[in-house]
Amino acid sequence: MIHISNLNKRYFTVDGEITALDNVSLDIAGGEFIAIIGKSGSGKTTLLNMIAGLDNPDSGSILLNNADVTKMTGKQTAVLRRREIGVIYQFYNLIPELNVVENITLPTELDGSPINSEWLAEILKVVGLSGRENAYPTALSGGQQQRAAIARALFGKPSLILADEPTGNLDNENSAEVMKLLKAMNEEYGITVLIVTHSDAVAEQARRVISIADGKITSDRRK
Amino acid sequence: MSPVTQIAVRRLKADKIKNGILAASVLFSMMLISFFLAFEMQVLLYPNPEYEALPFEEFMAKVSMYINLSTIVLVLITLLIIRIHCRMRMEENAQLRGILTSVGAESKDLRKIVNADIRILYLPAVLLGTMLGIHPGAQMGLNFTGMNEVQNLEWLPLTLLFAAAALIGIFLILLCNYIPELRLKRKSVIQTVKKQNHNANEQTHGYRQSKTFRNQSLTKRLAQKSIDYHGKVYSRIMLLFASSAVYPLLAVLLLWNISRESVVVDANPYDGIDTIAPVLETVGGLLWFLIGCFAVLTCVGFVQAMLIARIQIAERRRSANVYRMIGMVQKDINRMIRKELYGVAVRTLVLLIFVVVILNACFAMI
Repeated sequence: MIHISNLNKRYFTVDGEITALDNVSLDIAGGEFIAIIGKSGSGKTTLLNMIAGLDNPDSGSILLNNADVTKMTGKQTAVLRRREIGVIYQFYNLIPELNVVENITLPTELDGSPINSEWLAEILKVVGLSGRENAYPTALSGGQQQRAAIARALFGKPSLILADEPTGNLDNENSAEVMKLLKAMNEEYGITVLIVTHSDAVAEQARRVISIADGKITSDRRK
Repeated sequence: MSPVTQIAVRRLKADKIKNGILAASVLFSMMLISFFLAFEMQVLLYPNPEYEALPFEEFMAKVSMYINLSTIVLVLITLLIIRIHCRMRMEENAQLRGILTSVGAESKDLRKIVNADIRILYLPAVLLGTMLGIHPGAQMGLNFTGMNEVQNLEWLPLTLLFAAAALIGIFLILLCNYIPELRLKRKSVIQTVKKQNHNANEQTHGYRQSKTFRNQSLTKRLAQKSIDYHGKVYSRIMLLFASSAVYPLLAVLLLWNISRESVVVDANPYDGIDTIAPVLETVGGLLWFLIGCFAVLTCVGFVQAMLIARIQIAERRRSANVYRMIGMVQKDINRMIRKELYGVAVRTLVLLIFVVVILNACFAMI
């Protein structure tokens, strides 16, 4: 599903050059549940953003379903994020002016596709937000906001979910709930899930754990 | 309505007061630009032959140059204010753009945020401001040239001027909005979506760190840190304050420089024409006109500075919540904000002194 080869990325800061990714190569099959772990600044998020087409590498390629993300135009990567990839962030990133349903259906609306009400109801039920359809993000707890963000990522029926520290801002109970949800999505719908995390507890739940240090893959363990 | 436009409209409605102030500021600015353009047009295109025949040509030529220079400075300052406002607005929308990009919005979708701002916020302000400024400007021009009793306003050139001023305003607004838009597009969206609490973290860190130094008062150090950290924002506020203060300062400089000019009556006393009375009358009218301008500009500058200060203090109070969360008392927070503003005021003063020196040198060259 994803074939990454020789990915390099350097940043230039006032303190000098930083190598975010150093010749990273990786293969991910469809339906995998992967955790990427590593220290802050090791290059985990950079890798995730490149797969999502939000950042460009200096060199190397990322083939997602045989299409090279690094060679896509801005419009093509936008379409990819609407249809193939769901992105989840640590800080939820819901739009405060939109209610739960509007936030969830936003990528589909941007795509100009019709809203499938049955699928919406199912998603809301799965994430436990039935009855909170019209609530605005400020009226939701952190856990509920993250579940709404997951629902938004899932609503377009993507083949890949990229989650950047999805439990980083949640307590243990809500973290467990979010992980349960992501696992269910992976098992029931066959969606490939790629999680970036600091948490060992979260990484333990993945079937494959990739460690990154200083922009290099240092270990790739399958359970 | 597209979902992005819907979000933009709701965003505008949610912060009615702040956006109202922003629109009012643009309205004021356009009103001033059209006022001075109309005034200039009236003075340049329709000089009063009787008035021109008065025997103090040299004095009037100098006064006209003073006023032309002031008009140019005022228009430039006003354009700068509009540009700064647009820039601030663009940065406010940065996070929304980041979120939308991450869920698959294209550039054309993101442009809708700017388009909604332009249609709802700026366009009515530009048109209304231009309309409100034209007539008083032209009327003032008539008064200035002493033609108010002999000629009525000519509407065709005024309408053309209105169209031109409105077009300049719209063009400027588009330019101010789309150029930063292009720049921001190249910026990574990651910063905006990943580092939502970046400011808060930095400030908390600053607070904890500063607890280890006890040489200065804590609030003073925090205020200084805040000014350093938000350097760009504070520079912009400083520029806005300074620009607002330039209006009355310019009027004072104008009045002061004109009052220093000596009125040389170049008529032949043997012609037997009574020149003293019309000279005194015109100079008196001119001084009253300038005093009127001074009053209006002072009011506009004051109102603009107050509006800007209000927006900034409200924003700062909101962002200072993080200090409250870590146990800082409200009194200290208020003191810190006051010190920040004091720091900005001092820098504004330095900038203003610099502006006054330059302006005065320009006037002296006349």
